[in-house]
Amino acid sequence: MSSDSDHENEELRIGVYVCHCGLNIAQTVDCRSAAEYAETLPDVVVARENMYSCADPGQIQIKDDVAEFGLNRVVVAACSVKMHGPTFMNVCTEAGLNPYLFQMVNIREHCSWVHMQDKEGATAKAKDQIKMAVAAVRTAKPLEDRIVPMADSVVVIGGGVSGLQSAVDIADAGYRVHLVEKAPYLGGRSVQLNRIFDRMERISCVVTPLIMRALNHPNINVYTSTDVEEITGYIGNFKVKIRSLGRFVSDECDACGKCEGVCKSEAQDEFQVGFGKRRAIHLPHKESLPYRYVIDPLLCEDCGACADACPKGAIDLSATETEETITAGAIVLSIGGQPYQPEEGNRWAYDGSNDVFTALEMERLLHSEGPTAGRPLRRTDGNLPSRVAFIQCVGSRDEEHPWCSRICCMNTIKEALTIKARYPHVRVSVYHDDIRLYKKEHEDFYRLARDSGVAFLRAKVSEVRPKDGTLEVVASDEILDTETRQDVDMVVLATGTMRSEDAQKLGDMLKVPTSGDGFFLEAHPKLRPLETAIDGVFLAGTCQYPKDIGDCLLQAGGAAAKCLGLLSNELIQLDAIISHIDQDKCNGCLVCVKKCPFAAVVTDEVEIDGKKKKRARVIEASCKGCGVCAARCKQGAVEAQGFTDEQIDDQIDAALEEDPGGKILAFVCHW
Amino acid sequence: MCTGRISQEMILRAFDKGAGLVLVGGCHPPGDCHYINGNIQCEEMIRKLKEKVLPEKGIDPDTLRLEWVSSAEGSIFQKIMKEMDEKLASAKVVEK
Repeated sequence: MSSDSDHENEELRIGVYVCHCGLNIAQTVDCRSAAEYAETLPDVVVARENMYSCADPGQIQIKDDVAEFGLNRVVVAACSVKMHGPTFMNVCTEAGLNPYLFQMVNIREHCSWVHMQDKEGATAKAKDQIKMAVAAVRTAKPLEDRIVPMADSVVVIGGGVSGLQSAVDIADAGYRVHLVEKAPYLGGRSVQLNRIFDRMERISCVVTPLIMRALNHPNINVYTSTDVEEITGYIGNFKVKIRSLGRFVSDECDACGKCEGVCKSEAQDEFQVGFGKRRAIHLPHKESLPYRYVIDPLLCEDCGACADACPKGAIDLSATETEETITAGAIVLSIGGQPYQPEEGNRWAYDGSNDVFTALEMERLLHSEGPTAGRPLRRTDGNLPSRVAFIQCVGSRDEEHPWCSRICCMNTIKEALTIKARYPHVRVSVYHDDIRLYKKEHEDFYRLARDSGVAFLRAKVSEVRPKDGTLEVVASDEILDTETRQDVDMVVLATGTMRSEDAQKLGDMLKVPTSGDGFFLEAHPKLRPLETAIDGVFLAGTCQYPKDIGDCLLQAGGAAAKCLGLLSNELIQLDAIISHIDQDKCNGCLVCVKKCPFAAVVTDEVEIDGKKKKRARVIEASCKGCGVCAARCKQGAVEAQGFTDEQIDDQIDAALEEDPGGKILAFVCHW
Repeated sequence: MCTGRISQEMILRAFDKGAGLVLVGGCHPPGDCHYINGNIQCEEMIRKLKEKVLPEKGIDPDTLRLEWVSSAEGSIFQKIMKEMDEKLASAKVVEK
């Protein structure tokens, strides 16, 4: 590789390739005229049109021209750089050219496709675009991709179904996994459910085997009752600080329950969503894994009665919190979501004391280990209802929560069918906007519910009114175009899914962006659905958006595969589009340190003329290449590689050289 | 590259070279920015330009437009470009 100064003195020899993309570009843009124009631009030694630049003949042409004409810069005018940028960078590399001495300009989506009615105008615009790309490539510098070492372990945050699946898949491939779960048991929200749609399996038939695989896996370290405190570092070398609250109960515990009998401190049982109480020392639930008791330190009064009662001597009240820092090459975020909880004064009359229930409460009522041993009894009088109404889209698809929670339609059909199967005489109706079924099997399930006599009413519920021991459901029926009123004995709200309460905290720690609804944002909804904007951080499950268990496991497997793709390398390559700070030009104002969204700019203490001075420096592996530092630096000390001030200024000048007043110049984010 | 990469100097350069109109387009705040808050940092810069710098230089602040448009909102981008195109065309008529 030649040095920078060699490149500065080198005579520029630019090749420009204008792609027809079949007729996609050529039927609107006069590609011949554009190529002829390109040939007149300074330092362009060859300009050609190709039918398909990305196909083999197009690629070979570029390589041949580099050899024949001694090209040292390449411009391709074709489709999106997001689509074929890597293709042509690879062509450059194969031709012996640094891949960053290349510019791509999109004359398809940005030109031919949007100006189909104006061929002349489109051709003129394509020429301007090519002129801008040539201007930018002239001062392009050869850059080297970053090489960073890869740790051979992964931290999976969240031990629900998604985290479990990712952990097991990664561990099966021979890598170390640290699975961190906040709750004292594994399985997450799923283990609170009664059954899974649409095959009606008991949850333990699906999730318990997965939990057992994780618990017994030699490559998985499971941490329960453990929180993530701090995350630093970057792809290949994350440092995850975890804090374990401790169970105060050792592996010796065989869950005999003698301790619970002597414990006097009580609280609401969160696993049973508020039905009933639990003690300070308790088994989180009947099928809890690990199958061990745990002490709630906030509730425990340190009386010591449990320790005295334990025949195994498994209880140690003096145990303290422990902290540990784990190194990981990659991180899987699988923290799930949480159900929407209706606020006070809601129009469905939900207050936790009458006969309006949330979907999760109904799951517990229908569960054999639930508060009513599987009978959906009324809270007010303990009787079985004879009329039940489900209300869809509670906390979904409204102004405040505009997303569809995706699982509630099927969940309602499941709960309605369960009630119908056990108590065929109970009248069940479902008030809905649309019934949304995503998978091919779901339609059969819906049909089964209708055939079983569940009434589906396309009606918006305006209010639920408690009335003499019953509940009046007031709705506007879309088909009948009239207001309807129905008295029922029980209402079930199909409550939507919200982001986890920990999403903000972890998002801030990892700098993973969230979308407006608070769920974690994938790097690209189509091209990079498993990745986040942060290299080495992947998403699995509901923390991205509401998903059913099948979709969660699917994505979790995908996220695991992405981790394995990274972990199979000892060193990994990251692109060179990052910032670089010239410390000789830096005056130590440190605005870049303050403004960097990724904490990737740090302060160095350097000695200049015998005095200690502060100077900014970019941590290359952490930099995402947003360029905020370069835009803010008044000293010109920051170079945003690939998007330098000089390159952008030259493009502005090129665009506005002719008829500037008749043009709109747009600066747009490349996302 | 993010809208956060755009400096005040770049926008002023465009006007200095005679640009008819300038558009800055980024991802919806607060959460859609792929670089956490580059869009908000850009918004701050544009606000200062519109409130202070452009009027001082005798440039109509309305010739600079900041819009949030996601890559999935083609129709919104189209609407903005059409509006700007019409504005440019009517400005030309006035000049003539």
